[in-house]
Amino acid sequence: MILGKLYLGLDGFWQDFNIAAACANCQDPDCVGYVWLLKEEADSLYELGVPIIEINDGPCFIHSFPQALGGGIDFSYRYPPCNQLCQGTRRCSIYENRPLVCRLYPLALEMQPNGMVMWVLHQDCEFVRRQKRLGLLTDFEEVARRVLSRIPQVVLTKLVITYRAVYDISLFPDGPNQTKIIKEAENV
Amino acid sequence: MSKCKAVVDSKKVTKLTVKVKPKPQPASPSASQPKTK
Repeated sequence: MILGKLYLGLDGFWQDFNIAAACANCQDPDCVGYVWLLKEEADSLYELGVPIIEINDGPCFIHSFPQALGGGIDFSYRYPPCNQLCQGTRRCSIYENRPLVCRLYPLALEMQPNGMVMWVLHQDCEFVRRQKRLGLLTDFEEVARRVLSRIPQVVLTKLVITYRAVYDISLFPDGPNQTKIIKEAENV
Repeated sequence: MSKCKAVVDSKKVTKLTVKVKPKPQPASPSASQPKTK
């Protein structure tokens, strides 16, 4: 229930900024397959028939990873397309049920060198580039800070714990994401 | 569209569980039709 309200709140937030117009002009590939999930999201997407992969009895992802030749999963394949691809419509097959990590983008959690998890804004997003071109990025960031501050603590705690578990099994072979820190995600 | 540059570090994967919900089996025609004598 809390998650459902948060989903609606985030959707409304992005609608207010008309992110769909920027998405429609985005020339980048569709979402890539590193969609990590809260446990309850994994459970509900599983019930909808979405394949889920769970690693080390911990973090769950939408299963978009290719199969290795000898069986098992080929994790060496970088950035597999999400298996719920939108196929040109910019709306994926689970759009109404898409997880928090998708609803947040281009906002995201990110580990900092000092071990703190922060809210960041991906800079290589067409929406962010548009806000920057229009001189509206600072205003957007201010609103984003307020919206992120309203995420219920119980959800935020789950998000940070899950993100930390995801980060622990992650690599960034092509270097870090291009992001800008928006605010802290944890109480220091 | 999401473009996170992270990948799974396969060296850290010790257990992998793939969860795929079984699709419901379609009822066989003989089971769904009323039996007649």
